[in-house]
Amino acid sequence: MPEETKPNASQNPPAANGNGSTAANGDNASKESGTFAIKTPTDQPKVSILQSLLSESTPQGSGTSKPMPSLTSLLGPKPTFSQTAFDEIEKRRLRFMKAVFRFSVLIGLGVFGFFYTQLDPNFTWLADTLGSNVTQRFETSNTELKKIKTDLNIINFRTAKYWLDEINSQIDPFMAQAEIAKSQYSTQSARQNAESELQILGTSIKKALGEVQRILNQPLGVDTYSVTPITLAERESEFENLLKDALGKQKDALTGDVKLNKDEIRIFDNVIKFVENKKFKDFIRSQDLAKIAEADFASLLTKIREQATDEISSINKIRKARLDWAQMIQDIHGVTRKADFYYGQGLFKTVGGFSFNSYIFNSKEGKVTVGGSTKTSDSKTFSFIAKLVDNIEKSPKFKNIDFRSFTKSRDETGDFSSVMSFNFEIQTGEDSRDDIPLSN
Amino acid sequence: MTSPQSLLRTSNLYLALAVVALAATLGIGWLKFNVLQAEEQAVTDNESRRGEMTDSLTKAETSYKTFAEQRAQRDADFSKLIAGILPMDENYTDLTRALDDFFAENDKPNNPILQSNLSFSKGELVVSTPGISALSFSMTIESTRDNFFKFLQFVNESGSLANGKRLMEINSINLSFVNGGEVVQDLTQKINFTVGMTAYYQTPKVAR
Repeated sequence: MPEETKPNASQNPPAANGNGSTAANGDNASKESGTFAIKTPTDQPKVSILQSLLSESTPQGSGTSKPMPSLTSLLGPKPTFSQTAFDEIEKRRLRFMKAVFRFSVLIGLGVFGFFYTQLDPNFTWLADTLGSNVTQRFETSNTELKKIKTDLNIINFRTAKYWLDEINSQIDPFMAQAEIAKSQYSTQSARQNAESELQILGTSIKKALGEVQRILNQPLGVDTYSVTPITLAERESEFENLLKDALGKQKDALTGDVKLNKDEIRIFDNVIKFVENKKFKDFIRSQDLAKIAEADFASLLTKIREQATDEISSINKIRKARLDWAQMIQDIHGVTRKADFYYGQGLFKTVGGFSFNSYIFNSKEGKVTVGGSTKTSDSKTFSFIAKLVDNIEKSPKFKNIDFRSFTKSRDETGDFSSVMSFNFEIQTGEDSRDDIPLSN
Repeated sequence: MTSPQSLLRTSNLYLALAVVALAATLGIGWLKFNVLQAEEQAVTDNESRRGEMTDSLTKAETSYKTFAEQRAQRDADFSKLIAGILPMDENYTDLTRALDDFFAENDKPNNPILQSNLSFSKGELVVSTPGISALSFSMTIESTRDNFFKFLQFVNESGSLANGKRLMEINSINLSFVNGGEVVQDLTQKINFTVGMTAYYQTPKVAR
């Protein structure tokens, strides 16, 4: 680029009032020429700054008077900039910056690569040489902890199931003794024996229940580290699933020979059923065995029996649905005695009243048929029968009696007799026609 | 050409990219480093906990083994009891013998009970109770009133773990009093009755 001489400072002295016109002129010149390189004027007398200063320091009295030098003259010409130089600098700067950038990217890739190898669970390339990375070791150690805890849970739940079986085996004897202890037909000594047995069985059942509670009160999960936060409920749920899976796998491993492993498979089925039954577990957990009332204890045992193994549960279900026929016959006697106080005392021939000579019971249809005869000294035989019909209908044990055809005859002695057959149903729920609702 | 004063020079752009790359590297690196450090710490911690838990597991296994061995006999007894209450098959011959035992035991000269007829049907599944089948049978019996109620009690107590008797149920009773009407207080009163009953068993896993 061509160089151009700047205007001479001596030819264009700065204005005395310092309005900066010189600088402005200089700028204009630069802009016109388009150059920034420095050039010393050749036509200016070569006077050094030191000489200028010395001449200025000459005393006034010497007789010579020189004008004061301007600051511009002291500083020399304004520097000019070269585009070539700038481009050179810029090129160097660009190269440097590119290098810095490449270095940064390399650093970034290096950092990313390092953390990828350490933190990616699927990075197994160098696993054989360098071993597992941190995340793999982290996950492995977590998995190991979970497995140990799950194995512990399996043992605990199998133990709990043993205790529940133990309790179940004692419930029937306990209930049988409770019945003897409460029965008005039991002798005093039988009652005392039963109460003593009840104490022993009750203590044993409570001890076993305490063991079950101890196991159920332990958390299923173990506090493991996780990248995302996990709540206690989520953790328990996760470990419950792990437990069920592990039990399922152990059970599946046995299914090779079903017949041989039948009992063991049954145990696994029952343990899995127990693990899944949250409501029952919560119920057992919530019992205060030290303060439990007798009625609550009986209810607790009933509940345990309901949730027992499949077989016990089925037995219990059938037994609960089974009718107590002896009690039903006594109930029929009871309602009959409300109409005929002397029923069943062998006084029919002399006093009259009702005499039943057949019963037909059918539990599937819930029907009862009672056949017999009645005898009254007065002619109100039908009213007498109607009273029994009412009593049966009002009883909370029976309902829907259907007796609509009344017949009677007078015998030689003047008594009135009638042959009848009552058909009615066994009542299981409430009936608005009952005297005393079942709920009372 | 880029003006010397402009910040948008290529070199500045590279500088900016380098700064961004370094900042991102630093930020991500710091985060990853924290994760790495936390995982390292967790691994160390897990190692020590694993030792403790393995000890607990070993103790629990030993304890469970002892416990299970102690209960093995009880389990066997319990399984036997269940098998008596709910056999694995119809087992009507065993049931016949059990009924015979009851009648023979209670049949006394002054208090007789006679089972004159026993007839079994084919077993069938109980729809309401999965895994359980029912064997229907009927009996004709002549007995005293006392023995009639003993029979009802015998059936009512069946299926209890207290006695291990096979689970049975009476579905129907058709009874009549031989000599006139019922006399409740006469325990020797003769009763003829026919009972329709069900004995339960576990549905065999293999179809027969």
